[in-house]
Amino acid sequence: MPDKPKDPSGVNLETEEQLEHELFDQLGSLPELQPSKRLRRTFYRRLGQVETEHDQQRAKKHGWLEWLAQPLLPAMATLIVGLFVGLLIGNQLGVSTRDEGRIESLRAEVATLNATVALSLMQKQSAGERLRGVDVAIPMISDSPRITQALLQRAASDSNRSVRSAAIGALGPQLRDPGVASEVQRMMLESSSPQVQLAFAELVMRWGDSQQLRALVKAAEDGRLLADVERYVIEKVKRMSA
Amino acid sequence: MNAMELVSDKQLIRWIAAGDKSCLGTLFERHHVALYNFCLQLSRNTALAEDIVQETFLRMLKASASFRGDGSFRGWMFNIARNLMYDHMRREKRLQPMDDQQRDQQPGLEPGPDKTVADHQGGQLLHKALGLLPTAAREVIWLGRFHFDGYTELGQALDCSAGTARVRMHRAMKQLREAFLHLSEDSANA
Repeated sequence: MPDKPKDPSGVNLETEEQLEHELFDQLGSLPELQPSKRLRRTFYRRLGQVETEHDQQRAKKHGWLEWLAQPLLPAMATLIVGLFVGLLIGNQLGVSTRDEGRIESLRAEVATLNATVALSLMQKQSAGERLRGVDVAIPMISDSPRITQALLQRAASDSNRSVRSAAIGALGPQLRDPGVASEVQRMMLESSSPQVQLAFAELVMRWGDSQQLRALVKAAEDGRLLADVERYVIEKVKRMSA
Repeated sequence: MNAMELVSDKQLIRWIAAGDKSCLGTLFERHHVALYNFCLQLSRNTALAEDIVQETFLRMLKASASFRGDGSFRGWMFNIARNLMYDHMRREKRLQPMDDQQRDQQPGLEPGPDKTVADHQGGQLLHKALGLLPTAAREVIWLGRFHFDGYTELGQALDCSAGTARVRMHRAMKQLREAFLHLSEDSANA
């Protein structure tokens, strides 16, 4: 970047300028130093705090009515009704089938409880807890449409990128299910956030079958995707077919 | 390739301004090492450099809405880091320079397999010479050498015009040359 000498009046000007150029070049050999691991840790912790504060402010705005809308209540109601029905059935059945029925009933209770825990965790304000919720939900995804729906919601709108990525990753194998695939397609096309749309497009490109991929490319060609995502999809598909 | 790698810095900062704070992590991963090295050149203090890097990203979060798309993102980002550093310096009145022991412990100054001892000695002298310069000279050299090819962008980072950035670079390189020659003479006499 230093300029070439324009005024040759100084005796050593040429040499001086030359040395400056050499020093400027030599600077490139200075090592790039790495910050400590503490920096990344504290940065993400503070970013998490900022996100949590933001979520809390949003929650305050919506008030207690939002609590009623959480999936926890319907799940608890299902659990109670399930237990009640289980007791009734248990009383009606004979002694020989009682053990079998009890085991089935216990299994159902555990499954409902797990689903309740997963759904509840996925609604927590802490990103770490939501992430745990996604983990708990993964084994249940094929049995519970509500879990799938909750994961789709996390994938589409979670404010934390790790949670969103985990939810999208969990949904991947479910793309075989036409219902999930069409829901992913719908959410992707309706999303106004390029980052979210990009994540869904990535999901389809990674896990989708040829029909789903064709639908994605068509959406890109028809201009139904956001500009950045459209560019990405076309570029990636070109690279995949090269 | 990760999808986010194709998203430009400017786009990310627009998404942050629209409320998607998680994009800040992507910007952090892209730029924190460059910012750290810049802050380290200014402060010569590793802990302070890390604090300023962290503050820079959080400030970017707050100021994302004020980012004008017509300017350079990196110019804007380095300008924030620089202002935070100078604010800190003003508060502290003086910078606490790295002590000799810390300076000696810096990684990467040992000669690599492809470097001669003379190269290594030159590198050490250059590093020391840079450390002797005033902060204003160090910042213009560092940014001009590693981050900006043109004076317009450099000027944006330094809060001055392209012409002023050019003059500052010229002066700073002169100071570096003098410091380097001075150290070389000392080293030859020793």
